[in-house]
Amino acid sequence: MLNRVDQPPALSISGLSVAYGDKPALSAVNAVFHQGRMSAVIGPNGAGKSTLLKAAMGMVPLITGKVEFFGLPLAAARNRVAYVPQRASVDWDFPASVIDVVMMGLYGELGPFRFAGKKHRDKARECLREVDLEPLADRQIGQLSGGQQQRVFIARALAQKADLLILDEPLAGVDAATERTIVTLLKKLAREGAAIITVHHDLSTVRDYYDDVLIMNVRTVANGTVADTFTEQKLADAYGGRLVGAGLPAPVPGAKVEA
Amino acid sequence: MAVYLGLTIVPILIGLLAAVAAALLGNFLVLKRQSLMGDAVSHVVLPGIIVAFVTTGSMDAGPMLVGAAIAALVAAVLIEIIRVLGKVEPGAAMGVVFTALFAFGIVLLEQTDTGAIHFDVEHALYGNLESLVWLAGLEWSALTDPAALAELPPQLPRVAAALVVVIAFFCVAWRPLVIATFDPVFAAASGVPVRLVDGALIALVAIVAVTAFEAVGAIITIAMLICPPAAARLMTDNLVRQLLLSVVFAAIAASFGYLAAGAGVALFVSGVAVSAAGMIATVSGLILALAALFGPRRLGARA
Repeated sequence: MLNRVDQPPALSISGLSVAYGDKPALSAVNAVFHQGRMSAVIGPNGAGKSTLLKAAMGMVPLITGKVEFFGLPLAAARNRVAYVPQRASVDWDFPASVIDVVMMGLYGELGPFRFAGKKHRDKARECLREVDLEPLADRQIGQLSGGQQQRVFIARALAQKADLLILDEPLAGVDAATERTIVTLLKKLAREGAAIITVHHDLSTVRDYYDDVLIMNVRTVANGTVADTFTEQKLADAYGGRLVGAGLPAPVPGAKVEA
Repeated sequence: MAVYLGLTIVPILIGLLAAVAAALLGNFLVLKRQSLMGDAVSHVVLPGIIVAFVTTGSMDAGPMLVGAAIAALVAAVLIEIIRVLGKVEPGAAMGVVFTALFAFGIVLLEQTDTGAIHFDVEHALYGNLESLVWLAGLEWSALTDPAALAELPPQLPRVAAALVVVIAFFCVAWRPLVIATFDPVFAAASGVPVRLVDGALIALVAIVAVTAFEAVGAIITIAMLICPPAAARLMTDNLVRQLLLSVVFAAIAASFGYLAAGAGVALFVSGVAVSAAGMIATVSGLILALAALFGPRRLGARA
């Protein structure tokens, strides 16, 4: 926090526009995410939250816009960034063990060719310990519960030793114990100086979990600290009348006293 | 005994090498749920090869590969056009394009006077494994005789080279390939050249399809790309073990299939030869059926 002014933001996005076909998915989005902070990206379904993060990671073609990681272009900062896709985006029936998947996080360190030795295996086990999964290291990934699979993904991101973790709905469909483990771990990483950015759905936990928030709906609605930004007015701007329709718990922002 | 060397072992070896090369690649098509892609590529290769053959008059690997590559490009463009203009799902667009192009290849083949060179519809479908004998290799001493070795069917070094290229690709690109296959989004975010890896995989399928095609025909190529890996997938949850098992299954199918076809010929001396290619594909289908019935990963078998 003290150095916040001197440090370049972990991720800064300016004027970013993306379209799928002729349908605009993102329109001139601006957002800044800082080091040492837990940031949530929230907005209604179809707001472009995942698209924003994918576009920042260069996985969706931009129409316009500038993206910088730690003040650098992605190519120069890639090894400082870990990306955690949605759990449902992969086939968990894949013939791999838990530790195999975590070892994939060492790609940045090992590159395509270097042989992974015992040292790297130990590193991967270390990461599994952080998410309480070490006893399951040799299990086939398809045999895990949804929450455990999500924790495997987090462990893989830990193996990347990144300064910025971008997570696409890490808490979607996980059990309460997993949610606690993941949030505690992410908060610890943020305290140690990492930037955490997660796409988040449960508006009732935003105040408990996050320092900063980006509220968006195709465009930026608001971006700043939770205290200043997570207001009823801003949420109404983003969600409109769809809050109830989206099946979200009715949020009472402002009414809730901070822990 | 030595007579088997040239008459049986050499054609079996050609079939086996082609089968193993196809099966190795097929593992990744199966895991990516792109089995249809292998089907499409090995079908589309046919018109490409025929056009190349007709325009150059040569059956060298070079022009055939170029022809197959052009055909694959044309197919990709057509699939995209049909998908966008017809608003149909990609599988349907693929199915339409590859069967149409395959049929076009057959018609072209029938309408073209291929002259003295043996290249006809049956050859295209079933290959010509039975005729790929090594007549100079009827004595064991031929194995050390350069003059006799020079008369080996040219298909043997070609399929062997294709297999070597496939194995080399796996050695060089193993980690990117596995990561990109399991989780392409994570792979792209981590700097794995996902498109390059995917493209190389499909290009290799095309190369194997072209080399295997001339020796063993389109049917085997398709069967070999999918059946052994799919059967191996039902047997294990370990990727390396799956690859090795698929190789074993492919080798069994190629050798037993070939021998069974030969036994079939002996059985029905009527002169109705059983196609070796058809028999090999049948055996690989049987292996898949057995794996589906008894494999440890079959539905309901897991705790």
